[in-house]
Amino acid sequence: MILLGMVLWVPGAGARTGQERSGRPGWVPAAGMPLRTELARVVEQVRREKHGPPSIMEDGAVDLLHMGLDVWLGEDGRTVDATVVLTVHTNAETGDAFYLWLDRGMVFQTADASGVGVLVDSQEYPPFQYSMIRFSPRLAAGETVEIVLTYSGMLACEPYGARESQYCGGDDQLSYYMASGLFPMFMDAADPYGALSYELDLTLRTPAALDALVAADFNSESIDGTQRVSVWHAEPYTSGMNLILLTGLFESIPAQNVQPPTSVRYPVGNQDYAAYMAEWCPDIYSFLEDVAGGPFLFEEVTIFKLPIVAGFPGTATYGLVYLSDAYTTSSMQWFEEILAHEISHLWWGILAAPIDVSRTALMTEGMAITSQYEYIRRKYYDTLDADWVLWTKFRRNQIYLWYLTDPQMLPPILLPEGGSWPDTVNEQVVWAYYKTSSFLDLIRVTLGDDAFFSAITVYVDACTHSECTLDDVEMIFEQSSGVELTHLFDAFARTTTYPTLELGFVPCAPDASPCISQVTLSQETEMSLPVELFLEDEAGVILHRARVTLSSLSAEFPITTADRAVRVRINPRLQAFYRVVPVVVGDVNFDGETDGFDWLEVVLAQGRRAVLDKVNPGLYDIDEQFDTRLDPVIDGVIDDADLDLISAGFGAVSGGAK
Amino acid sequence: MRHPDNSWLLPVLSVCSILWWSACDDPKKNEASPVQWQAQAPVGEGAAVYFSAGQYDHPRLVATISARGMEHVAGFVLRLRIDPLKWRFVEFRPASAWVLRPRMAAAARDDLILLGIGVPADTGGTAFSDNPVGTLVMDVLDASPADLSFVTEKSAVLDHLGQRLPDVSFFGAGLVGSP
Repeated sequence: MILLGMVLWVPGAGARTGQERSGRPGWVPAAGMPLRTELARVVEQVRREKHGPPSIMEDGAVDLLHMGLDVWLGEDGRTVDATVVLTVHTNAETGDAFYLWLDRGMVFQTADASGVGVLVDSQEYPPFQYSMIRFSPRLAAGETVEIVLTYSGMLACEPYGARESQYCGGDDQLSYYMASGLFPMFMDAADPYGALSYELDLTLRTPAALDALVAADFNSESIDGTQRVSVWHAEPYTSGMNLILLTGLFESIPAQNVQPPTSVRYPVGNQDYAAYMAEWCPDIYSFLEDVAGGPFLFEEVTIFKLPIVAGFPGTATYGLVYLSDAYTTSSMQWFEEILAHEISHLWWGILAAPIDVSRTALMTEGMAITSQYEYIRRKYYDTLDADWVLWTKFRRNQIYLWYLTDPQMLPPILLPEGGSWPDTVNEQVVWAYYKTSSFLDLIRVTLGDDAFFSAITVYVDACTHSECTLDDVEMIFEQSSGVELTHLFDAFARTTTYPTLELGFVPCAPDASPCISQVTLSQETEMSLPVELFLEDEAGVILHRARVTLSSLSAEFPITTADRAVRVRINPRLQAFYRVVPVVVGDVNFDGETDGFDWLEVVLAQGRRAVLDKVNPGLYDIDEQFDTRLDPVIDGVIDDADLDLISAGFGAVSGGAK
Repeated sequence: MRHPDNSWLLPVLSVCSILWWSACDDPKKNEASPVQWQAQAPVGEGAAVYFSAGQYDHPRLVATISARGMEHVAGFVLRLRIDPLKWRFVEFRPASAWVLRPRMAAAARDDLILLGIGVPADTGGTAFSDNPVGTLVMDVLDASPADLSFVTEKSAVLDHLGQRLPDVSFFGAGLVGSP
């Protein structure tokens, strides 16, 4: 089994249409489980019903070596006549069968292979159909066979799933077609989640009047009567990406001073924001070159600005980035940030493609979120305190984790073997995008920026066009940094852990010189946890940052500062996972006593809710300014219950502070 | 200690004229007392927190803390230093001047009285122009001169944005020997 095939959706957070903001029903970008993973779950369930555990055969039944496609698409954009030639190699004892997913409007007409019978058993899973392809007699292990199948019909292009995503659709301006609709999506019968890497040759016959754009290297094009015949090719380790065809009338503008050559394309007459996208490319490329250690390994890159198309907000695939301008409705900086996210996927999931992508989104969506946050920080807020800037970003992660979902119910970042993605869209997105990026940030805080980003370049080098797993990621980070990280990966990536840390503070005497503050940390279960302590003065200025390790149930850390520190905090970037409570009940500002300042902070915030009080709140329905410190009860509402808790401790002191 | 919910409805106790050095007690009641209440009058025209009135009827002292020169006030953090051998904190009652019922916490610890009183930020806050903030109730344990002074570095007024108002002066009070 080899590499990849997935849809990398852009996150939905923050993208609201004018309609939504005005309270009317509006288009909501899809965000959630990649289609391939969702479909793999279907056939895996079928397989288990028939054969039961053990679940997945790691090597799979077959390797797909080559896919040759000749596809005719009618003037109506829905009528299809296609031939697919598959070259497969059978593996050991695990079988010889595979699935092909297509729009349910497609019907297989013929199926042939040299010297062996081909059996096609099609089942509907609306709006898709999946067909098991088997051989009679069964192929021997190690055999390579070429299968020729023809299919034709009328594409239904219907929505699927709770968010009504689509795999094909569009209108006169733009039509889009993905694998599992027009193109067959290949799936190993013994390892449906397993990713693939195969060489692709594609001949397209599309209406001559329309442009065609495919996620592959362009070879040639000619006009044959009313048809445009275009030929495309993709090398292994890239062709497993989601194969997407766009048709329509397109214009483009080049992005200046970037490598590889890049253009921004858009449907004719839909040029709004395209110039901005081209203008941002040099900064985004420069940033990603710095992070990844080099330019994208494509001959060229196309960034396609999508109009608002139902079910298709954006994605990235082989040398192509798609992004809907619906993301402009929040702010242009947000649009730029999401563009950085999508372009970064050319590394995170396309070139450096984890083999365990059906079980974890750590190095795909997690890295894309990490990239978008860091890009915006470096570009716009480089002169500000990096922890503070990043916290303004990662606070969203914490709110999603703690309040929009039940963090205890979210699965580990690495799903157990055979485990499923979460069920709801909120859970899927929080698990795939925000829990992962918060974990990467925990590693980043632990290692420091230099070591973290050095490890990322090592990862890119080792895992581009390769087969890396989360275990490899851990090893790369450890070897590159020299820091043992297994316990963190075990606690926060392979299992679900949210340790509660009790934080105490006793300031030095006002006239002490030097000023030595006493910080105490304790935990309920003995773990080795990296902690970064911030000691602040009265104005909130960080006087001292101290990285410590809490490796026992309780520990004291005397910390010397030049000026007098009056409070302590744990770097809030760590607090997606760490639940920090004060030693003194109600001491929400962690100055060592519970007094009127604590009381007033909570009083002023009375009534604030982490998540809007509505039925089925979504990713847009959070208060990004919600201060989790002021919700010691951790119920998502700052209310009487929190005041009661502070009241219970009012006047208490940890010692020395008066 | 949280105050009972209906306490804010209690009438504000006698408010005397806000004059420099106001002594508001009824002299007849304190006729036999060797000490009398005396508050430091706020100096200047700036923002100030001060004792506007006090009634001492041994052993009970009821004193009004007022504020002036402030707008959009969301709350007060007040810390008073006392001699615990001479004073015993009883309670603090919110005044009726607030735009809506304030939330309040009060406690005594060693030689300190800690108070927090305020309203949610989304109320926009309350203007204080020689208006009472609340009433401090103390018992006098030893009828001898004693100070009731603000710990200024730990006292503050916050606006509806959560910002500390600058240049606020705090003026204390106490018991002084009767003439």
